Amino acid sequence: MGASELTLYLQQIERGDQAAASELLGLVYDELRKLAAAKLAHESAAHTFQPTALVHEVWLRLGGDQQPAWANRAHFFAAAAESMRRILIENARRKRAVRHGGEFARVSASATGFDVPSPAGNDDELLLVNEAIDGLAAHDPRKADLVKQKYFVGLTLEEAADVLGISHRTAKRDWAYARAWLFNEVKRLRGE
Amino acid sequence: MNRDDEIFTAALELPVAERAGFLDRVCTGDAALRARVAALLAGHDAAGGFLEGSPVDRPAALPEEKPGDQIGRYTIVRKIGEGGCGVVYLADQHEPVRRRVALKVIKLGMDTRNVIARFEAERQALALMEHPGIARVFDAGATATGRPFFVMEFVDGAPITKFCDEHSLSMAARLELFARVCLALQHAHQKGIIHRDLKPSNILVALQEGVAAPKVIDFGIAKATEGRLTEHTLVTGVEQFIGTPAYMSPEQAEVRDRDIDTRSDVYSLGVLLYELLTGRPPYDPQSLVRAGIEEIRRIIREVDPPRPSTRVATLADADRATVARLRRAAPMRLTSALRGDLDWIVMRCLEKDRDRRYGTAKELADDINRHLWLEPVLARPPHPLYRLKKFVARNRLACASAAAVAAALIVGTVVSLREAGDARRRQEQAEALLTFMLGDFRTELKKLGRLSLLDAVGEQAMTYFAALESRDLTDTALIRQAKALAQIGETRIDEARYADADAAFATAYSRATALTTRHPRDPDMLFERAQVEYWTGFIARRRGDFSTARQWLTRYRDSTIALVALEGAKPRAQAELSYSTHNLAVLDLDRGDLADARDGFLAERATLGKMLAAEPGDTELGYRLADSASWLGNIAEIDGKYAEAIDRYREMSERLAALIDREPAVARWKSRLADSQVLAGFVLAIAGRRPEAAAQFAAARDAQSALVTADAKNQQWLVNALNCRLRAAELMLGDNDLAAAAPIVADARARLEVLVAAEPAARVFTGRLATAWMLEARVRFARARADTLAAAERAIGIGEQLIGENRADTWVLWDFAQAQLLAGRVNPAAGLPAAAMAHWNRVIAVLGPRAATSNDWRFLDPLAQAYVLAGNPDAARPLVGRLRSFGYHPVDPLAASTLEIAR
Repeated sequence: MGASELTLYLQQIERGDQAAASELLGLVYDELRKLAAAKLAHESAAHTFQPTALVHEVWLRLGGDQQPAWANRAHFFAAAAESMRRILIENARRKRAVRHGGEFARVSASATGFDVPSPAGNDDELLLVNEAIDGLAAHDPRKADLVKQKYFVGLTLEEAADVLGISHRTAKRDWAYARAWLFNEVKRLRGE
Repeated sequence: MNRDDEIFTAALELPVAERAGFLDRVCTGDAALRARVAALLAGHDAAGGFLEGSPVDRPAALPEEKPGDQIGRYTIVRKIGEGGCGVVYLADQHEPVRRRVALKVIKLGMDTRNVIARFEAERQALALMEHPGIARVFDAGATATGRPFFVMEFVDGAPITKFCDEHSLSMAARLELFARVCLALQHAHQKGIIHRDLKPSNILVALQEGVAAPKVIDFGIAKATEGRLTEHTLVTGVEQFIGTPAYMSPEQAEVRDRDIDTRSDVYSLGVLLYELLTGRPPYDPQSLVRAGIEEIRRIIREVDPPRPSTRVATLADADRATVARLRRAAPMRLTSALRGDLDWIVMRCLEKDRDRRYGTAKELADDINRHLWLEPVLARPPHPLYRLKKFVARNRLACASAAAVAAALIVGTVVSLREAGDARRRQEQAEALLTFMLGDFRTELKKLGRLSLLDAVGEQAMTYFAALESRDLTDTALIRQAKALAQIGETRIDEARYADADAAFATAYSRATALTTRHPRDPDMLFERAQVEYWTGFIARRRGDFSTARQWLTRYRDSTIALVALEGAKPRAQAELSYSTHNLAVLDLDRGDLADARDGFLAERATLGKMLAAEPGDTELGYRLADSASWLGNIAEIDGKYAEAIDRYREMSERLAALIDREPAVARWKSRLADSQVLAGFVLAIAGRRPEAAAQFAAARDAQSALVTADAKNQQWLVNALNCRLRAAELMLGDNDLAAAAPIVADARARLEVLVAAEPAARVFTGRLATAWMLEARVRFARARADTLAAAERAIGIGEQLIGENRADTWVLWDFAQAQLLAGRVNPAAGLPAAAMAHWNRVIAVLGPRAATSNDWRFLDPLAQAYVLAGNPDAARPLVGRLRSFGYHPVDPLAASTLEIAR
């Protein structure tokens, strides 16, 4: 684990190895989950997490600070955004399942650590947004990636643009479009 | 799809009214396209805050309780407030008693059972509290959605700070009110209850029959909710939590805060008092929140805030006027009202080490009352005697007259204690104080670098003298006062308190000109006036105001010429002449007039040589020759003569080392030796002699750390030490030693933020903060971090500001250009060649004219790089040629490869 593994994956991805991308995703996902759970064990229950900080910490834990080039970061961030999305979605689905069972609204801390006491409506919205992003990715993956970076990792538009290697201006346009599109799509999925 | 995208983007840029027409035109014949884009535009306009938050760090607001809702046995009447961790409602209780209560529902995702358990554990103790200044806490429970709530006595009042401002309470009225809050806290402390979250919003003041009645609320809640400094307090709702870190004691800022006692509340009371007096808390809440959690912890634990009087003195005029108006005070009197007792009382509460705070809230209240009754406060030893002991221990030889000094210090203490005493007595005491201040004691203190001791006693005298008119004073009184005020001013300069120093010198100048007007042919009078002219010019130069500086230093030079005319070859006149030529030479150098500056320093050197021949054992003269060497070294360096520069700096080091041999206890020699090592270090580095450079920096760093440890109040030394560490870090970055450089940069940056906040007008602090940001950007760049640009832009912002104010020295310009080049390098990675070009062109615009008249490598190197990066290596070639002819070696490998292109 650590620097060598990360370096290896990033190099393979650079060479166009798609399998390596999925390996990297697994690596980042595991690390994020572990980190979140570890935090939860040591800090007070009042603690929630900032995805940006968490992703950054994973980057450092995997030895990202020893990675020299800019380009490599994009792959890492893609994996991080996807991981963060999965963790959030799992969390939302699990909480909804508990609620559907008619239980008391609060659930105990989970292995993910993202135990945010948000009401049902919020989790539902998260799931709808997630579904809508899949729809956007099907016809415009670049915009979907931008949304993932901004929404799930919590990067600013400028940071997300830097990570994705697009200009700030493009990012701004893409964001306006993607947000409008997703807004309409979520409305449609809700049946409005 | 691309077409949808383009039309959507184009339509968005139009006014809403024109969009439909635009769509009609571009979508002619394609109704489906038009409908898709129109739907997107409608979605865009309706989306509001959709997706703008993160699903994690800002959970959607919980459904709020409405009037009429039932929580436990309480009925909500209306919402009355929204605080950091909760919403507060006015509610009715029906049984067992009918009463109005305040009901606070905790917002955050807390473990409700633990919160309630912790509350229950303290419930017995809470029930024992019975005090008019404390709001009762009745009950706690869980809402239907599982959130904890607390029920308290309803207090219909305003936060204490707001109340004081709304009623424009005077200082005395504020203090009196505050003392009552302290006594309420004392009651709680005696029952074993610590509040843990004291802040203005938890201390409400209501008017009861025309009398202000303070009540402390929220007892027991901070403990139950374990309110402490977490990422969360910062992340969720900056505005709501803003007060919390600002009022938190150092021990509470620790990660593990189990060990809290009543003195943590005393600390928070100190913060409150600070805010009541000065209008703002000691650490700016906004900057605290921006600093990030680790940094907040560090600041609260390690950084001493400015004293209240200093804080008020450094406010912008308009702000100070507001603070004064809300206290029914004259803006001019504000600083002096705070200085002394109130400074001491507040700073004693804010001691990092709680053993040095007041032991109880009552002791604090008692001291406030002593101040109000004009009795001596306990907070003061401005510790003259305590400090004196240390001073004796540090240097026995220097304290041959320790007994006389102690007697004088006691006199000094008496002056401030007898505000109500009769006028003649006070004047006698003040005169006695002056005799002491002008004696040998000062010389010894200055060598030890402990002039601050003088200030502690001098501030009282200053307040007293400032109120007197020159025309009412005798010659003797005028001379003594001019000298004393000038010395107080000098002390303040040493502490980098320029505004305070200027005030002292302004009064001193009025005394000195009164004297020269009365006695135009008297050299002594002229001499005193010249001193004040010099110092006033010095301050202006320190503040970067070159034209004012030149004006005052010219007056000074003219006065010394007149002095030589009056008393011929006397040592004093010679010395003054050497000083005034020196200072004009320095100013010439600042103005880029190298030849005149070099001549000036050589002339000064000759005068000093003559003086030293007459007084061979004079260490001050030895020091001044070292100083002159440093200036000549600087001129050689910026003229591209690196070998000469290194020799000059080495000469400087040797002269200082000889002085240290002779007088090992003198802090100033050590400080200047460290300076010479830093100077030599960087020239060695650019001359390609890196190992020698690193050795110089290491030696300087050790010496400076020792100095800062010995006198933590001396901001000038602190900033010197930080500068040394930053330049050493710059070399480390040049060697790609990130791990060593990064923590140095981060630490220096944090300290500088605090210094700049306290002294925004001081150019040295601001400039070094830009250095720190520039290096931070380089660290981030090396780590491929996305926020590289943000750091570079901070450095650029400060640089632009200093350039705009004409206050940028060569190092500031160097740092600025480095930051610009880096920002330019980051931008193309983001696909923004135009933005990158703007950065490089800015370097060309700023440095181009300077490089035309100067050979300073700090201009030539970045300018040549900017030309290369901007695609104009031809323009870079002559610059690189000049640098090569000097034997210049870039420290930054990136610069080296860039300059290589233009060979």
